[in-house]
Formats: sequence, structure tokens, C-alpha cells
Amino acid sequence: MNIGRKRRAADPTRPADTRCRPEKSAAEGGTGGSWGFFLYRFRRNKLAAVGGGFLLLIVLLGLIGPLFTSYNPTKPDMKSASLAPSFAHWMGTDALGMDIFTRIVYATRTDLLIAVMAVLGAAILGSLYGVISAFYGRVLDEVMMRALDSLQAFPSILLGLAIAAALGPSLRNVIIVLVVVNFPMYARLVRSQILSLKEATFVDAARTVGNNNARIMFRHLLPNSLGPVYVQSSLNVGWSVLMAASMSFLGLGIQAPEPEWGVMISQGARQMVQGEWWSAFFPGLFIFLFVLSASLLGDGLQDVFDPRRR
Amino acid sequence: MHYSTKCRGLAIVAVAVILAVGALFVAQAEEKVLIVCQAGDVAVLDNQQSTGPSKNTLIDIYDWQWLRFGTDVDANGVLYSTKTILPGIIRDWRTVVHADGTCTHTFYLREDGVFHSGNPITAADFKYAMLRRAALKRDYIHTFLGAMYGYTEDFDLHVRVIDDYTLEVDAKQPMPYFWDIWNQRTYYDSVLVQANATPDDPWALKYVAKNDCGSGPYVLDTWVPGVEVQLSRFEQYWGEAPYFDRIIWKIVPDLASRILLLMSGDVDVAFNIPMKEALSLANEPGVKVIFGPSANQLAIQINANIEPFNNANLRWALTYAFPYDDIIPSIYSGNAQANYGPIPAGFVGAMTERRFNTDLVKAREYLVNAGYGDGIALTLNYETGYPEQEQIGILFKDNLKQIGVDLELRQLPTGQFQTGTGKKTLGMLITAALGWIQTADYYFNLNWNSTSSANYIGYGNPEVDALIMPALSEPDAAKRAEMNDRMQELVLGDAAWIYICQPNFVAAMRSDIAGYIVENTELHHLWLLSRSGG
Repeated sequence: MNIGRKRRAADPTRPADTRCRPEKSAAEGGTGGSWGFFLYRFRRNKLAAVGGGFLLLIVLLGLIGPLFTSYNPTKPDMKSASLAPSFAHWMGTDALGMDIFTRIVYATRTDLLIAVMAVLGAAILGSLYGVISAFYGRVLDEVMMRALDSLQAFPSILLGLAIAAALGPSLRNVIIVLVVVNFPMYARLVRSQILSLKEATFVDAARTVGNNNARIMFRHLLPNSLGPVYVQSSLNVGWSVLMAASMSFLGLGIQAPEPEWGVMISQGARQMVQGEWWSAFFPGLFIFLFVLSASLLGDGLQDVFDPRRR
Repeated sequence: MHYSTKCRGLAIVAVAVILAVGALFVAQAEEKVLIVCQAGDVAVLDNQQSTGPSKNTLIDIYDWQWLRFGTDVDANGVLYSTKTILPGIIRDWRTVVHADGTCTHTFYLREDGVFHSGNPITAADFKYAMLRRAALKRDYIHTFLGAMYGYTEDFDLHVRVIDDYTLEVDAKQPMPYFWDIWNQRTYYDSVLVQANATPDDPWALKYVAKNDCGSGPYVLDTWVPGVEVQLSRFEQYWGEAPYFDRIIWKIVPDLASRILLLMSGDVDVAFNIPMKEALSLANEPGVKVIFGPSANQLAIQINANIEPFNNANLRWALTYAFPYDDIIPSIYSGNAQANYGPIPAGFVGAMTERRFNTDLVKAREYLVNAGYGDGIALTLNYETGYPEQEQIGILFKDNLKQIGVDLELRQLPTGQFQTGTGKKTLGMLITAALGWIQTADYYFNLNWNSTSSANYIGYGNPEVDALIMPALSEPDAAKRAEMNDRMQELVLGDAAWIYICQPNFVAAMRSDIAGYIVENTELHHLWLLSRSGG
């Protein structure tokens, strides 16, 4: 029995573009399925692979990095203050004697958490907003889009700082700020996708067989409009880390002594003028690598998902 | 022919333009300009509404002192202000003690003083300045004036304009700090201020906040909030003309930028330099840093009106958990004085040893007695721009963690921090308190009077309140010291502050800048500066 497969094959509500997508054979580098095709395309983009590789390394560092250090990331040790990189302290110590490498490892966890939660939150909220706006259209669409216009009229960093100043500095509030600042982008992306998809025959077919609006929106339209969202998310991950670091640098994000790359740069920048370059350099380097990796990965995903760039 | 005439004309115009531009450059090159940078923005130009960064600018626009303090040179060659009173815009003064113990002070003004508006400086301006200060009640001075005179509600009777250049003020009795108080007061162009007063704004707060109503050595030229303030020399200033033609105040919030600007010589003076960076700067060629002992008390202040800080055992737990011995050597590299109690080090009556030392066992006991044996999360607030306070907070957090307290450090933007301190809504904060009158009872009035605006934690002890005014007005030094000792014991017993230290005063400038006078106010009188070899 393979009823499910038979039913799916006969389901007229499946969008045409997914049905007619060419499937690569294993010999062509594919696995025979859609994901195999994506991986095949992705592997051909060397820069994207490098970006993905770096990103993976950074994630691994966050996960298993603590195994390589015995220092406490938030415990001051004034006897070891401001030490240059050495065998004992690979990346040196800060003004309070805290080991920079240890703090970077733990900061990776914090920043990844911020990036993932912020992007996930913005993508979910933005997608829901976009699908509702586009599906119902007319006055509701107008009102919802003008609301987005108002939100986006503010420069994102200023809006973020204003919200953070109002809510107070904390990890949770940084994530809230990033979600609020980012979700309009996803809303517009999904809305534009839905506006074209909702005229497709598979939607008419779904309606004909008795699907209600909610099912059509969330079961049929939304899953077929997420390609650009994936691309945007990967690009947005880097930007979120950058924004979180900026907020922490300005004192409106994560608070010292919690390890976070922006906090570390903020603390280390003061030491730079005294020649203690390592306090700010290494966290800065990690932000640079993370954002670059996320951008390269995002570009690669764009190549995969955008038919015009194949 | 016609063509060559045209060419000649053009050539003459070109030469004239080149000469004019050259002359302008020469004139600019000869102009003496002092460029300074500070972290905080200049928010308002009214002393009654201003904060530290604004005050630094104000003292060049306003004639800050009614009288002048004398100066002396210390062993390190640093100029500092003494308690010797010298004539200023008030050229002479006299005090008559009456048979009933009251007294009358008579002030005689110089007759050549004018405001920037061109209005003459008269005794009415001084009376207006006193009246405005007492009516606005925006600072602690009005309570002090109340203690001294008891006449703040009845100005016309007790503050009298005898003629344009003579002012009489009645007082209940001769006061111990009379001249200290009078010497550091701003006066306004009362004609200009009153002309801009409205029924809704009788003291012209809006106008004075944004406009120059002063008579100081410099006139406000331009003011771009958040960017810079430009001042030019006031040629009709009654005192000695300042050396610099112009002063440019640049707002540079970033510490590294301020340091680099000073090192490169792009600015002459840089303010708000933390101790560690100042010590490093002192070794840089072309830069000099002036250090000096200060009465600025750095402390963690605990608001007993806010839960859970209303629990005295919790306050004692915090007091015993603080890492007192780590701060001066590690954060200030030894450039600070220890401070053991409410009376600052160096004052009569100051404690000479710490009564509460770091004791985590005792701290834990107090925490358990407070009912927080399972732990508690607390927040310590501090203002943006003070890296040492953040570092102190981190050291404190580490100790507290060992007794079961999870301390969150919360850095607040200046505006938010000042709102919190003004409304007394912050539970626990780290900040510094500096009084301009260097006596114990003045500090009690400033920090511990329940009605003082500088009492950020709403501290209130009826016995302390009852002792402050008598101590302020007590002419007998021994009796005053006795009252101060009693107040010190009361305040210590309430565990409202964790006394950290008194960081030394720092002023960083180019080596060729001369004439800097260290004031107990820690304000910078830039109009007294000059450039050696200039």
C-alpha cells in the first residue's frame, strides 16, 4: 500500500512549479529529490560552500569550544589583567583578567542564539503578516502595508535603539528588537509571492475541493512562498549579529560581563589606545567571519532558489 | 583691444580675490583658538536646569563667581584654588553683626560690568538670581540658603537693592560657609530674562535654556546640539581679557576618539578620561595630565524605599560582599583615596579605617537572615560612559555570586539614568557625589537630607534631618563636629551606601596649555587658559 504517495501524485492542488521542477539523477550529482538538487546546485557554488563551512566551524566552536578551555567566561582575575596572547591565554585577557578566547566561545553561543531566535521570530511573524495581507487584499492589505511603511520609515538602527531604550537592555529585549526591525522585510517578501501564487490554478482547485481560507493560506500558499524567505534568513542571520553587537556596543544590548561579541568589542575598544589590541580584535574578527560566512551562504542559497540565476 | 581690456579686468579681479583669501587665511592663522572635547552633550544653558557637561560650558558664558578664590601652586607645580577670597564683580563687601545676633551683608558691585546684551550689571540682577534660585528649588542650594537665612520666602524685606551697585542681605546669624556659598553662584541678565518670561513660564526657563543671558568672558556664537558649541571672546568683559579668541567645545562621546584627538593635537584639552587611560596618556609626548585628590565620593547607593532593598539584612549582606580592597589598586591603579563613610576622606570627622570589610561568610549569614537563603536576583544600575563603574560592578557581581545573589548590571543612557535618580526610582545604583563646599555638614545636606534632590535614593532618617540644619548654621566648630559625628553614625547604621573610594581628579591637555586651575568643583575654567609660547 502506498496510498499517501498515490494521493499526493493525484492531488490537483499541488502547485505546478513544484511538479515540473526537473529532478537530477544521482549521476548528475543529485539524489533524485528536490533537496538533492539543491545540494547539487549548492556544491557547485564554491564561495557558498566556504561560507557554509566557516559557519559550521563557528557553530561547532560554540557547541564544543568550552571543552578546550578551563577558564570561567565571567569571572574576573585581576592578577591576569590585560595580558597579551600567550600559551596560557591564546587570545590574551581583558582589563579584568577574563580570558578572551573563553569569552569568545561563550559569546558565540549567545550571538548564535540571538541570530537564530531573531531571524526565526521575524520570519514567522513576517510570513504570517504577509500571507494574511496578500490573501485578503483590498482594504486590509492597504492598512497592513501602510503600517509597515510607517515602521520602515525609521532607520532600522534608530528604531532598534529606540525600542531597546524603552524596553531596557537584556537578551530577550535584543531579540524582540531584532524581530520588530526585521519582520517587515519578510512580510513584503511573502506578500509579493502570495500575490502571484493566489491566482494559480492550484488555489482554485483547493477551493473547489472544499479547503477553507486558513487551509489554503497555511497549507498551500505559504509553503510555496518560502524559498525567498530561506535566502533572506541566511542573509539576515549575519545582519542580526551585527545589529545585536552594535546595540551591545552602545550599551543597549547584552550587558557586561555576559560574553557577547559586541560587549567584548565595547570593552576592548577602550584598551586599544593603550596598545592592548587583542581585547577588541578577536571578537571583531569573529563578527567579521560570521557575517561574511552568512553572506556567502545567503548568496549561494539565492543561486539555488532563484531560477533566473541558475 | 577690447579683448585685452577684458583680460586685464579679469586678472585684476583674480589677484584681488587671491589677496582677500590670503588675508583671510592669515587672519585665521593668527586667531587663537582653544579646542576642547568632552563626552556629554551640552543640554541647556541655564545653570538651574543643567548637568555637569553643560555646566562646563556655562562657566565660560556666565560670570560664574561673584567673588574670586585665590590660587597657589602645589609641590607638583599644579595650580589650585585656595580659600582666599578676592574681589570679583563684587569689588567690596562688609558684614555687620547686630545686637540681636542677626547680621547684614553689604555687597558693592563694580560699575563697569555689562552683560552680553549690553545691559549694565546691577544689584537687581543679583537679587533676581537669588530669587530665581529660591523659587525654582531645582537644587539643594535653596535648602541651604533657607538654613542660612530663613528668609527665602520674604526676599523684598531681607534682600534689598540699595542702589544700582549696592545690595544688602540680612542673615539670621554669621554663617560658617558664607563666602564659599556666595562665591559660586551664577547671575543672569535679569532685564533680558524677565523680558522673555511668560505667564506660563515666569522664570523664562525655556528662553534661558537656549540663549546666552550671561556676562562671562565668552559669548555664545553657535551651538549645534550633539556636535559642538563655539564661543568667542567678550570684548567688554569687566575682568582680565582671556587669552584665546575662541573656544570650540566638541562633543565626542567615544573615549578612544577623545584620546586619539588629544594625542594627535587636534584638540587641546580632553575631558572625561578614565584613570587607566589617563595614566597611559601621561606618558605620551606632547600631552600632560593633571591629577589631584578629590572629594568625589564613588559609592553604590541602595534605595531602602524600594523592595527588596527595604530589607536591612539584605543591605548588610551587600555591604559585606563588596570587594573593597580590589578597587583602588586594580581599577584606579592606586590613584584614588579610600573612603570609609559619609564624610569624605580629607574632611574633619572622616573615618580613618573601614568598619565593614569584605566578609562573604557574614554576607551569606545576612542574606539568609534576610530570607533569601535560596538566592535572589538584583540589578545594579550605572550610567553610560563610566567604564570604571562597569568594572566595579563586574567585581561586585563575582563576589555576590558566591553568596547566592545573581547581580545584573544595567547600563543606562544618561537621560534615563538622570530621570531615575531624579525620581528616585532606581533600586541600586553606582554613582559619584561631589559637593562644592568641602565640609561634612554640607555633604550631609547634599546627600542625606530627605528633601535634597541630590539624595538619589530617597534616604530619610528623621534624626539626621533634624541635625542637618543646626549643623550647617552652627558657628562653633567643635559643636558642629559633634553633630556631624552623630549623623555619620546614624547614616552608617542604615547601610544605605557602600562606600567605594574617591577617585583622583583628572584633566588631560596638550603640554603647551598653561593656566589650568584645579577647583574643588571639578569644573574647568577654560577662560583662564593660555598657550605657552603662543
